[in-house]
Amino acid sequence: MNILLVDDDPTNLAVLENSVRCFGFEPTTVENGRDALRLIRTGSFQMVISDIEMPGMSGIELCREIRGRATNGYVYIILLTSYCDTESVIKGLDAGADDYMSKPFHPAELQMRLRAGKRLLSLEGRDLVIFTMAKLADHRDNETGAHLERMRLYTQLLASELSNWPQYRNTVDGQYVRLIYMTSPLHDIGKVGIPDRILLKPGPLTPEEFEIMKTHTIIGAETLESAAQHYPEADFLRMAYEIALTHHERWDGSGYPNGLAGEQIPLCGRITALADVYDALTSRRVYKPAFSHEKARRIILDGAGSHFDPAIVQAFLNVEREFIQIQHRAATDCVEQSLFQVPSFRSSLNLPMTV
Amino acid sequence: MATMMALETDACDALLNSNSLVERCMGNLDLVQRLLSRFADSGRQDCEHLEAALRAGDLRTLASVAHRLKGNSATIGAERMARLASRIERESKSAGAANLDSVLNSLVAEIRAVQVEVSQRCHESLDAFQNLGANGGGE
Ligand SMILES: [Fe+2]
Repeated sequence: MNILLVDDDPTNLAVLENSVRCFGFEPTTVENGRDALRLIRTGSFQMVISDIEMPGMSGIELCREIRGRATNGYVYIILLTSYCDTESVIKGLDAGADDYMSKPFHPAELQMRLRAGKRLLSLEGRDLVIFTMAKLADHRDNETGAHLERMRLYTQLLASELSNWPQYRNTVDGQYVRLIYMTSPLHDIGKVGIPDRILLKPGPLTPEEFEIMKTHTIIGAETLESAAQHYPEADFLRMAYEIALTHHERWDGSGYPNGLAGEQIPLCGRITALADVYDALTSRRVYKPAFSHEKARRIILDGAGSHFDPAIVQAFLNVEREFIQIQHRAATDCVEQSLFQVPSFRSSLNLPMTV
Repeated sequence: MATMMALETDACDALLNSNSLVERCMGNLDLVQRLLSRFADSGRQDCEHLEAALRAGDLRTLASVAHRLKGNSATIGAERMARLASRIERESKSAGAANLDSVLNSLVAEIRAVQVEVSQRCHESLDAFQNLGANGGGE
């Protein structure tokens, strides 16, 4: 892995270079912030270690510059401070640094910090791949809008609300919230197995067609389950599987594919169900306008205890304000993001243009 | 390694803590030698810089030279020198720079002492370092 080292002091630079090389990285060294920024813009560096106090551009300014412009993936930044300089540390973290280390550092400490950075970067890469897969699957029938971007925010919001409730303390923790944010976009991935004539049919589906449509839950679940068997340690695949399978189940047992009821339905499936319905209601579809938040709220309240888990409906009410914010915000900026992501896939994979 | 530590007497206030230097260089003795000779080469000029800045009352320059020396000396394990440089840096940044003179004199003396120590060690064909590299280079 490439790593960029920035320090105006050649002695520090040499020591730093030697250690990161011993730890298996490919170091490039520069002596000022301007050169660092120029190299970072080439996109070849995901990790930067920078001194804070440098003539010209300081490490803190460098941080701000890196965070201020779009880079090709996340850049992990570790700042080097003189010891006891708490003020710089705070400024640096505020400017977007991920970690800091005071000089002179012990190699073992550097190694630990590098390891943490690498781990974070690999998680980020994985999240991106998952989301891209989901996006690709979603794109066949959901041409516009940022359905998945909103979905993951809604599920995250509901889960983090529940994490504050005593009865969920043992099930819904920070890891759970992160996992549901990551995996809920995969809920409809089984739609890749639904033929165009059904998935893209402009009018209402016949009962036979609807039966086929329902199998998107099972197709998605089977795909994810076989992946989960290959990587049993990947708990996100387990959750993705549960969500794909159960996001159309209903609290009263009238849902599909298995007609599960109540707590037979995994919590992540119950959460995703509400988020999915709320987003469908507040989005424009060929057959309906976008409903207002108030109207969507009424429909969801009516469904408490029949369609939805009453506890999740309560959680929804508790974070209602944030739901409205996401819905409004997503209507503007997330759309831009999805517009820039998707066309490149289309051209490289020759996907059919659908409306 | 234990004997080496004993030689350094007070481990936190050494003239030159070669133990920590070798550790920081992860046993790379070429690097150790390079750092030490660079340090020895620049010592005289550093002293001149400091004294000139003090004479001119240029506290900004004084602070920045002291800052650089602090970093360098801490890296090569010149602990006492690092502490003195740090004091100069701090005091030349604050308004009442009263006893800068005497601290600066101590720093200059310390730089010279480190220089002597460094050149001696370099001439000792790095025996001490070689031993350290074999015993204490890792953790
Ligand atoms: Fe679905």
